[in-house]
Amino acid sequence: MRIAVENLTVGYNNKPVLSKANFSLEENMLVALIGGNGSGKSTLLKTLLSEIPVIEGKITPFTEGEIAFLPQEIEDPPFITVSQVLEIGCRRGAFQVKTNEIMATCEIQDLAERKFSELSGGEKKRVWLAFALLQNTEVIFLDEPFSAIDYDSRDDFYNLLHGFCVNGRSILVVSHDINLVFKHADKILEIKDGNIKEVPKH
Amino acid sequence: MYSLQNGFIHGLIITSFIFVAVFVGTGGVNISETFIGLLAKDESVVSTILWKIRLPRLFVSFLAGCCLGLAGLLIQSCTRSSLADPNLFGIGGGSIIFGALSIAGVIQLSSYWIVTGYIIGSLVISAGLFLLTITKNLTPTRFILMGIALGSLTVAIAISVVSHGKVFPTQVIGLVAGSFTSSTWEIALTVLLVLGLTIVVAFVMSQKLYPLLLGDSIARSLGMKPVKIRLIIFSLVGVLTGASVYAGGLISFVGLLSPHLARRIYGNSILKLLVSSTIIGGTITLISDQFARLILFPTEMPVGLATTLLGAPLMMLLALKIK
Repeated sequence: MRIAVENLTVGYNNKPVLSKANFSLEENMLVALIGGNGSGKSTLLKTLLSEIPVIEGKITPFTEGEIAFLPQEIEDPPFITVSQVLEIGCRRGAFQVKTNEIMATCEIQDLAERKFSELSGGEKKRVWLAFALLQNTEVIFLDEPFSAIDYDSRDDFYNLLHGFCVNGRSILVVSHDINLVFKHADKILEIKDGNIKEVPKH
Repeated sequence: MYSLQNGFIHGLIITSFIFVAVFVGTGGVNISETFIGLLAKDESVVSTILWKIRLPRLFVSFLAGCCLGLAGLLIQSCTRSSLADPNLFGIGGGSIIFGALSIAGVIQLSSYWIVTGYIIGSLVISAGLFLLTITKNLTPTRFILMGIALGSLTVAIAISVVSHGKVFPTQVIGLVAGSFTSSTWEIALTVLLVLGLTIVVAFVMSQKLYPLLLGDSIARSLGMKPVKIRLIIFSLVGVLTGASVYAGGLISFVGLLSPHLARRIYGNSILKLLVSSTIIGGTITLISDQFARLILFPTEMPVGLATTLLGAPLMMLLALKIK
């Protein structure tokens, strides 16, 4: 088990948005986190990343700095090129799949020498995805990574994500694509009315 | 390879302006006499002009510019802001407030402590800007606006202090608009020492600069401590800017321009940039000082105005590209 959460209450400034959560993130699994706007999905991720303090409960193991993370909104890094962005991700030691292959699957090989800030919205998302995937961490959190990408490509990306959940790796992805999530995820967690529970797939 | 070619052209430009700095001036001395004076290094008038005035000035202007070029690169990298400049944002302004107090006689220190005073002045403002970056929702644009406001404020305070102190106008202009007329070898050595120390720390920190550009959230997920890194970088910027103001007063836009030019000329790798932005800062300031010295002959123009004439239009161009 990669991450286990017991009786976890999260929220900003001691105001809980999600109470008594119990769930786990198993190895080799693509886990989807769904829920309405403001339901506490991002707050939960930030708590798991130790960016905001736990109100109550327990997360094992303590995960600070061990998780590759893509926030929902990322301001464009100025000055640098796509390959320089990716190089920062590679410093953790690239994952067993080679960087070139990840770039090919994300269809960004031709963008390597472009300035990041000059890319289109969809291209930026693809670069960020590659950035997260090539980090050699066992857990990856993606907060709505596909928002600027068209539906067909999203389907491909979920396939890709699923393919990455091997050798003990697990990915937690926050998403609004209910259909795709049901199609691809191994496990679905839903936050509703301040509670989190696993949604049966069948 | 193109950066090698550019480096060659850059070298030629520096060399030619060093030639101007050494051989052209108000003394009415011809080139052969200057050459003899340069080699003789004796008590003659020509030799004194060269070794006590022109050469120290050449080195001080170059080194002060190097400080600004490096400070500009560092502040732009750690605030993700392409328009950041240590002097436009009031960091140098902190130093000139100290300079004003010192020139007006409010603070009296031995010359040894004066450089420390200048550096403390800039560190205070640098710390203020650092605290700004900790506050939530600080976009690069907001940071620019606050920095520029802070810059104007510090200049206003410094000018108020000197006008209260009934100081000579030339001293005031030298402080707020930049001047290398009172350069000495001691100043050159002091600035070289400060630059040497800070550039070593900057090299040690270099691999942490680009991850900061990805935003704090991602930087933290990469196992970095963005706030701590930024604190160190802002301290370096403060020290570098203080040293440059001590050497030549407030010289704006060099810190803004150097990183952009360095990227164009020598490419985008951070290690190259640390060197190239530093040297380009020195080059711009050296060239500007030669223009300042000679263009309004027989009087001099403040060097900070020369850099502004160059830098302000370029800042407007850069601003066009910002979303």
